[in-house]
Amino acid sequence: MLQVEALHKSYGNHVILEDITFTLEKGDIVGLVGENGAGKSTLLHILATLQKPSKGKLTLNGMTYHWKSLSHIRRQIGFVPQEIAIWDHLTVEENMVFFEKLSWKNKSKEELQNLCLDMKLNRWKEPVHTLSGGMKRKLNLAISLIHEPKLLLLDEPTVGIDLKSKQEIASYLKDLATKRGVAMIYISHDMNEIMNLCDQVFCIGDDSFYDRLLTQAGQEVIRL
Amino acid sequence: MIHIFSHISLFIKNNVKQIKRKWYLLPLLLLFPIILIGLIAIIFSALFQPEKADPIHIGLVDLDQSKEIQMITTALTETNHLGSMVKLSVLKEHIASEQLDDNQLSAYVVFPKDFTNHLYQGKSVKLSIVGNNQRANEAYIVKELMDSVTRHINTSQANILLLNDYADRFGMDYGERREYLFEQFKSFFLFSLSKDKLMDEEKLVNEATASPFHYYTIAAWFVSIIVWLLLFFNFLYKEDVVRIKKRMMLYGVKEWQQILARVIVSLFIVMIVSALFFIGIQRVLAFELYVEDYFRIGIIIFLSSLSYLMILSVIEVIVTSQKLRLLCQVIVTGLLIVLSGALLPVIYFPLAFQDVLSYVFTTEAFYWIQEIILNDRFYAEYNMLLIMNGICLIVFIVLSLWKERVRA
Amino acid sequence: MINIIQTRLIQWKKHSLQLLFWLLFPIVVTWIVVTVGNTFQDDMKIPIGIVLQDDTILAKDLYESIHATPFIRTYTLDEREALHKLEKHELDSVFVIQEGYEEHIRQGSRNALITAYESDVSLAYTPVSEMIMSYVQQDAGRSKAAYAVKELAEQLHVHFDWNWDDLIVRSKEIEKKQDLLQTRLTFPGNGIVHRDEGKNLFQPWHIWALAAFLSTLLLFDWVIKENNPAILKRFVFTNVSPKSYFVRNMYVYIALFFTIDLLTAFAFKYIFDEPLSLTLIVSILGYHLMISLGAFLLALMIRKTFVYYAIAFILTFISVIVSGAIIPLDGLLGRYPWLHFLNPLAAFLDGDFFHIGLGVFIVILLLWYGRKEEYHAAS
Repeated sequence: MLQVEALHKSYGNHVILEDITFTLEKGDIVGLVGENGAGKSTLLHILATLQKPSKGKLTLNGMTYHWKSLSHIRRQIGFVPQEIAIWDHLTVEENMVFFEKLSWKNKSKEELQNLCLDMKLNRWKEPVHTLSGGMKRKLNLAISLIHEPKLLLLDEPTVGIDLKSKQEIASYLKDLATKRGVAMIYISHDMNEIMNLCDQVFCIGDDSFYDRLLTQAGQEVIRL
Repeated sequence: MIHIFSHISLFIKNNVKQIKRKWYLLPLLLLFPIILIGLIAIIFSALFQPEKADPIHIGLVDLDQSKEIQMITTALTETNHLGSMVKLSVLKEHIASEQLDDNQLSAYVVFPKDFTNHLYQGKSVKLSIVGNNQRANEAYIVKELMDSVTRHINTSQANILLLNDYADRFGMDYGERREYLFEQFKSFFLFSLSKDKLMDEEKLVNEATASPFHYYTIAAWFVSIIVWLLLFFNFLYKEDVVRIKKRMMLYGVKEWQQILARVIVSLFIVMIVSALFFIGIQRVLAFELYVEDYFRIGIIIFLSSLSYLMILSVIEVIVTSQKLRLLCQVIVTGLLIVLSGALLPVIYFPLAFQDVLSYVFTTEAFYWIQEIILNDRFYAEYNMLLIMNGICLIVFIVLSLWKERVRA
Repeated sequence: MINIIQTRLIQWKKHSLQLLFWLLFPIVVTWIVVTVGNTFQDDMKIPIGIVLQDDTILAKDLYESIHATPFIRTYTLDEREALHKLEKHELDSVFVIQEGYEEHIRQGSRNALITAYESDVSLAYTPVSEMIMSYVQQDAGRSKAAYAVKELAEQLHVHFDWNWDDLIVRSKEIEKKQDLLQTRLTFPGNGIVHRDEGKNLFQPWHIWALAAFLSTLLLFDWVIKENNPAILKRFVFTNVSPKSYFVRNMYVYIALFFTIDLLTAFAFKYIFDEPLSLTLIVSILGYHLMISLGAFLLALMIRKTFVYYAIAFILTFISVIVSGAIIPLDGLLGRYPWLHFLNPLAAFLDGDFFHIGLGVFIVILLLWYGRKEEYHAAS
């Protein structure tokens, strides 16, 4: 489904990503680990078409990443940013409707509400700024799913929230992968979460700390 | 209590740091009111200069073609009765209209057909003035001028009609009467033009310091202080993110302490800057002041600035929307400046306004500054300014405490 | 576009009161300023001192005429006091009706009937003295006419029972009956600035333009508030790219402004009796389009709302001055025509659609829109 071949990214002389090659199939959930600054977010941004690679070839469902085909590719991608990217002054409903209006897919209010309820986000009418961190993270994820992406790119989607919310999100994502065949790349620093959720783990960066940690725990790790 | 002072002093230090960090904006802040006032001064001087350099050109269009109008137009064009600021020329109507379009004329006056006959017979006549869009102000001056001319003509007309009446009664025939009236018309016209003798005009110059230039320089200085205070007070304003606000609350820091720190810093800076500016003005204008006068002026500026800053603070406490708050502050500032008399001396204000003025502290402050600097008074009254400060401070504290309580 | 309007409605719902306030701000401000300005103008009086040294009827009549003049406030004082007040600038000027005023008029002598004092800060001396002189001139003229009648009778050898007072009364009667000569000022063409004389101290459309300048700038703060990098990333995965989100919303705002502007034009016709014409509407639209584009571009450059607001107020303040709202610019414009370009209100006040600023803003907007940032721009 997603093929990445010999991907390079550098800013001037500073090489960030070097010769990265991997493939992803339908329903795969892949964890992406590495220390801060290793290039996880850059890789995710490149896959999300938010940044250009310096070299390399990327293909999603047979379409090559190219500026002419960007809008077709973007339709298939869901991106969950690390920041909580929602309108703070609007309610959950208004946020969902707002992005639905701009989205490629039209959805009824009911469908939108169900999307939220599926991940146990039930404060439909409440303004976002009154919600807990967990609720905000759920909404942050829900908005990215409105257009039913085939590839979901998550940049630390559960940072700083309670265990219960984390588990609710994780079980929702697992469902999404198995039932709808959505492929995911998941950045996190929480190794339990990674091991609980992911089928494979990619590690980038020079440091082998995460490598060892995960291998010791019996998780297979692929170095990119 | 100690906490309060330590908090305030902390914020003062913070504010000073902020100023140091953004030092490059300081000249801009300081120059802003001066540039604006300079701009106003340039516009003002340009408004009055063209009268000297460039006279107002007026066209006279005579559709009547009577002896009387010819006499009037020759008298007006050949002699300089209307002074050097006006230049008149007799033109055909279409030429006048062309010159108006070419921006050569400020306006032209049309004497309609049968103008004189109608005047003699007591019929209504209209003098029309066609103004130049591009020189609307000059056109209004022309209109004023013609109004004053017609006022004279109106009186003259009544007198001519009176003479016509008696000449008729005394049995003069038409031709003779017509000739006689023309003579009288001429005589009355010249009589009107020589009206300057009526008045013995004298100019009072009380002291060397009382020129409009002095008045407006002091006014500019006073307005600059107010504008500086507004600018600095808002320059030091910092949007606190919710996170930081929460942290502040944990430390027991109150909003009013931050505001008070800004009041103190703004006041301190503006006092220094305005003192420097004042010394500069004094060098140029050279008015005589005693040491006590400097103290008096300092106290007045200090008290009125403090009152003003307290009012800004009260607005900041009441109005939470940034846009609306700035709007309120700007409106209040505008009113305080206008009412102070620094733009237009208060004697020209409507009486209803003048009654209110004794409660406006900027009016009071500007009055005493004028008295000390321009009228050599050795005395100043601070009661009103002190009372104003007291009121503002109490309102500010009460509002702040009330707000803290509501929030808690 | 319909989607954009729907999302905009969601945003507006949250600040509907604020939005309404700033939309109506120009109309309300114009109404307040014009009303207050007119009251102020009506009640604004020039304080002058009158010293009445002559106790005759003619002198008192003169005093009454001066006193009845609408733009003057008279104070009757003795000479010493009046001059003292003039020195302190509590009076604009002082006029002394000299002893023997009537006597001199009766004798046909016109020299120094009045002594006028002005100080160097007398702002209104010239018009006031002009006016008083015209009153005195009336008295003198009537007297001259009375003598002319006497002369005429003698010349024609007619027996006539000449009486000065009777003739004066007669002349006054004629004048009252026949105040016939009037002046009328007109301007060719049809610019917006038709200052009907004495109607309004401030021209409604001029004030409106300045208030709309401020409110438009302030209303464009949505650009800063919604210029949130994290949220903008989301737009990449929607039908609307970040840039087109901003541009289309700007269209929505401009359309809203135009609607309000049309209502304003009708409202001003009824409130201020301002003529309504196609030229007017076109120039309003051109003006509002220009400031909207300017506000949009300015807001794109600024991160903090407070800084933006401060700049908005400062720009408005500068516009107030360079547009000639407080001090007319006529003289200056003749000498420096380029000032016209600096004045954002220039085209509007002349009744034109196009101001150079509009062209500049459109070019900048196109450049900004056309510039690609890595992948962001494509959509």
